[in-house]
Amino acid sequence: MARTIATTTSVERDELLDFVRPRHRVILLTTRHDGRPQASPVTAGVDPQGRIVISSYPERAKVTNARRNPQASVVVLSDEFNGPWVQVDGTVEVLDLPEALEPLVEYFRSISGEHPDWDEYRAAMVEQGKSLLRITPESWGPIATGGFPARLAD
Amino acid sequence: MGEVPKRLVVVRHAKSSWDDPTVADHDRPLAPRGIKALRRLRDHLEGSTPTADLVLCSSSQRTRETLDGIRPVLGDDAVIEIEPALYGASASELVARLRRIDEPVTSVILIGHNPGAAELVELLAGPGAWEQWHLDKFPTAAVATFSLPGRWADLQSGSGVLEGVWTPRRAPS
Repeated sequence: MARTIATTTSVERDELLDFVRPRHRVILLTTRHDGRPQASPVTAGVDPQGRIVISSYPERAKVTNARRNPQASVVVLSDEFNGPWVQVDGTVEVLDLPEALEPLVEYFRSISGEHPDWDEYRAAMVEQGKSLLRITPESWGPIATGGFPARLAD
Repeated sequence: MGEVPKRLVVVRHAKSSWDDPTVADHDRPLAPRGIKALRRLRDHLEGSTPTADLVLCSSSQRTRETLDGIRPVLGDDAVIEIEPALYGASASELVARLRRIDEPVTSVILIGHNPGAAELVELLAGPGAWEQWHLDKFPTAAVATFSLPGRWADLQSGSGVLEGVWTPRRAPS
């Protein structure tokens, strides 16, 4: 069987967002107080302004990290672990309630689609005291697939 | 001899979980607080509602879990219909379904969703139904109980007598 060769495809912003939008399995990278990276597996969406959005809680370490240092990266994976992926670097904002409420609706809508009763969702978000992380993409790598280097192709 | 008054109990599903946005809306389960409210809902129905002849329940996970929570007080003879069409049904679609109930049936529990369930209550009771009960909406796990004179097939706007609205928040915990 022929070996699978790794690929990289450079993309513009629109292509990047088209790739990210249907993919919700993401590793978020923030920076700890000692400068080391913290990786957090999260469910993410893309809001109408093309920002990558993640729901969280104010007491979570990733939120604390983001408030201290707004530089963040995400690795957007495919549903299949060995599918294509991309790393996006950007600036993260932390939104708390009540400012976070409507962006949280956009977050859920971007992943789950339309819903007839957003009031119930809003009430649940207020009850849980949720926050939202919102990352504006500033640079990104190519969309990549894993595999062997081309020099090892059969 | 006049028609036997019908009883319609409209139940909104208990509080649902929004923890996982990748779960389809139809398949979202109850939240821990919703599960907790089921005991109070069950106690309320046991103390206030005669045995149901028919239970109409939306096919969603959260309505079916609500049904499971009250099933012990429904009685052995209740016919339970799980109906996909009740998921996302509007008030007029719910009325259309109720009109198709066979006439021997006198007591029905309908387990559904907002906004359809809240609008059904307002449609049957007439405008101002929520203000009358000092509510601005139909909360999760709430119950609206109607007396309905006449035949199911004749059900229409304003034809119900809203006898009571119960919410878990107002119930003793």
